[in-house]
Amino acid sequence: MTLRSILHVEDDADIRAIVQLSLETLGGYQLSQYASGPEALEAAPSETPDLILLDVMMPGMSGEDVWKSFTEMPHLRDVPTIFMTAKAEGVYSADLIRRGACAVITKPFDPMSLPDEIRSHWDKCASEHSA
Amino acid sequence: MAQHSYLSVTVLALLALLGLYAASLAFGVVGLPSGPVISGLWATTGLLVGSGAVLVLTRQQDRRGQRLLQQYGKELNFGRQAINAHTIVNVSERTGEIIEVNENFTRLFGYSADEVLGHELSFIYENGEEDPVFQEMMSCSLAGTGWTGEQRLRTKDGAAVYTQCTMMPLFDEDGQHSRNITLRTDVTASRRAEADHYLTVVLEELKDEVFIYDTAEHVITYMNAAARRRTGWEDGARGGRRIDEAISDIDPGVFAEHIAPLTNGRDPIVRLECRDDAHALEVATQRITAPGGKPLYVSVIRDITERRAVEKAKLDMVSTVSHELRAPLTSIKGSLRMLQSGALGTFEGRANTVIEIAARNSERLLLVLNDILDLDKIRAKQMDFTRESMTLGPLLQSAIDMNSGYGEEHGVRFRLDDPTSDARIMGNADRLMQVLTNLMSNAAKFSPQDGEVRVGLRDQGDVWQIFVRDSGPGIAESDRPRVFDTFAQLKPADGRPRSGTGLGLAICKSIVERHEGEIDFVSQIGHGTEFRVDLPKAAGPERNLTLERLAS
Repeated sequence: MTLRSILHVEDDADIRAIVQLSLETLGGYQLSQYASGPEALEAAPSETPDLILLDVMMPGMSGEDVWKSFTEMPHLRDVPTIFMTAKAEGVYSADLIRRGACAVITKPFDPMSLPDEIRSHWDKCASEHSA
Repeated sequence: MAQHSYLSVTVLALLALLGLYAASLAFGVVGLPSGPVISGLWATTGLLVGSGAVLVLTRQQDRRGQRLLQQYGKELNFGRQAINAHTIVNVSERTGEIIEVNENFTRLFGYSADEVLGHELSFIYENGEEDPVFQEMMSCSLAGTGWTGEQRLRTKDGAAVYTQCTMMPLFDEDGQHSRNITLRTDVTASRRAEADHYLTVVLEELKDEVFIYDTAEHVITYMNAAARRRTGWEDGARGGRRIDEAISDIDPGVFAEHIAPLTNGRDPIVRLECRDDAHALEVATQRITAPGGKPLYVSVIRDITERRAVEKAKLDMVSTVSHELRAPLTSIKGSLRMLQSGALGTFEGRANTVIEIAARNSERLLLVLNDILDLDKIRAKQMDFTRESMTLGPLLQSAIDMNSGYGEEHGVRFRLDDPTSDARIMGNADRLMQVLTNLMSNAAKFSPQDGEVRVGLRDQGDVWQIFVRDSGPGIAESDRPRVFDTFAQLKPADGRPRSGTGLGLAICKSIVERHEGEIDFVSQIGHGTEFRVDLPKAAGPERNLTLERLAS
């Protein structure tokens, strides 16, 4: 199994653009981007991503809220989920991972190395899931 | 007896008068007809009887006087004993030398009579001879005017005593002022009682709540006005209530746990945070010994609702600012990074230079932001700070591996001195790595090209000392007080400025202090600087565990 499609939720349009350049242009992945949790949830039934990439702090519905809703959908429940956060606290990241997140990437991230970083996290988590 | 002596005195007096009258007749003092022989006889007889009677009379009066004197002496002695028993007495020469002290004096002040006789009394005054009260006493002593008032004095072992004092001049038989007698009463106890009363009033009016209760049953014996106000227990309603009833939302078990460290004397004071309805409370409890030796607990309860709200608001703000600054920085840095990479096309000459400048400065902005947030988190004690048993050797090695790239940028090599394998402390590896990275990047920045920075460990008894030594320009001694301040970018001794946020050493200091350690430096202008971090040793070597960990 290889990583092809990524579902990305991020409220900041500029960061969406950077992530798009990084993951689509440089990484060659297929990316579906949404500007908010509700928008992503509305489209979720027809989405079948290999990986979910969520911003943590978003107005209204947080990344964690979106994650919780996704885990209630059978076709998204087991998809590896990576969080992106500006919160640098180790405790917070450790807690997300303990609760089942695949990885936490701290902002600002390096768009040049982001594709590789995401790939290596996904490789690890996907193999855990299939095992 | 008195009656009898009066009678005999009267009889004798009459006899004497008679004799003297006869003699005067004989000498013709009183004009009566007489012959020379008869008058001579009368005169002799009269003189003899009269003078005999006077002689007897004088003797008699002498005895009586002596008895009276004895009587007065007894009474005087009685009075003197009473004064001696009650007051502190000293008699001094007009010029100040002590010539007599009583037992009360030696008992209160703790000096023996031998130690004080012949000296001026200055030693019982707070400031000795310089003491203004002593000087006033001396001038009154010389002038013979006397003195009355209260004095704060000190005993031989330095304890303060309060006395009510009266000095009176003594005059000799010629009416000359020769000596002074000084009487003192010890009023320390009543002064103390007044002070106690004062303290009780202060305690009563304190904004914090104060509870005093016994150590066995925790039954409250005193609560101040603030405590009564919050609990709603009036003075009379206090009877038999226990301290844990005073905080509605606290479990008695939790409270017992709170004060447990006091019972074995491990901690002198313990703190607990709890809630009571909508209030956040901080309870600080101490064990005290009441006069008389009875142990008591004192709990001071402070309402910290407001303080907690302010702290939370501050942390929320820091978190918000962090997010608000990091989001745009993510875009700026990301964009610049992609432009630099050439993945989106190439630029020519100057364009590359400005992209380079923008990228470098966004990097710098991020460093400052991270440092401010780190410092704030460390100071607010919000930073993840779990400490575990760890060895310093491997930490130093990985610090060198991690920072060697940065060293190369500055043409500097890091060298590890004596990697002691067994240096065990209780620490947070990530935070200590932050300290080492800060110290090593500083050392690299300030070292000359092709310089060497030595990193190592020393056994200093109770502590392990990490040192990072450069051969840079050194730090001027006058800059020492500011080195660890926030934003303290000092002018280097060689005058060449280096990049940095000015927060690195402040962060190091905060982290080291959270490890109950110390950070310091020694420096020599022109020769270099050595930063030293002392960290308390962890108890008991766990050699096998270390080896296992290293092996895995």
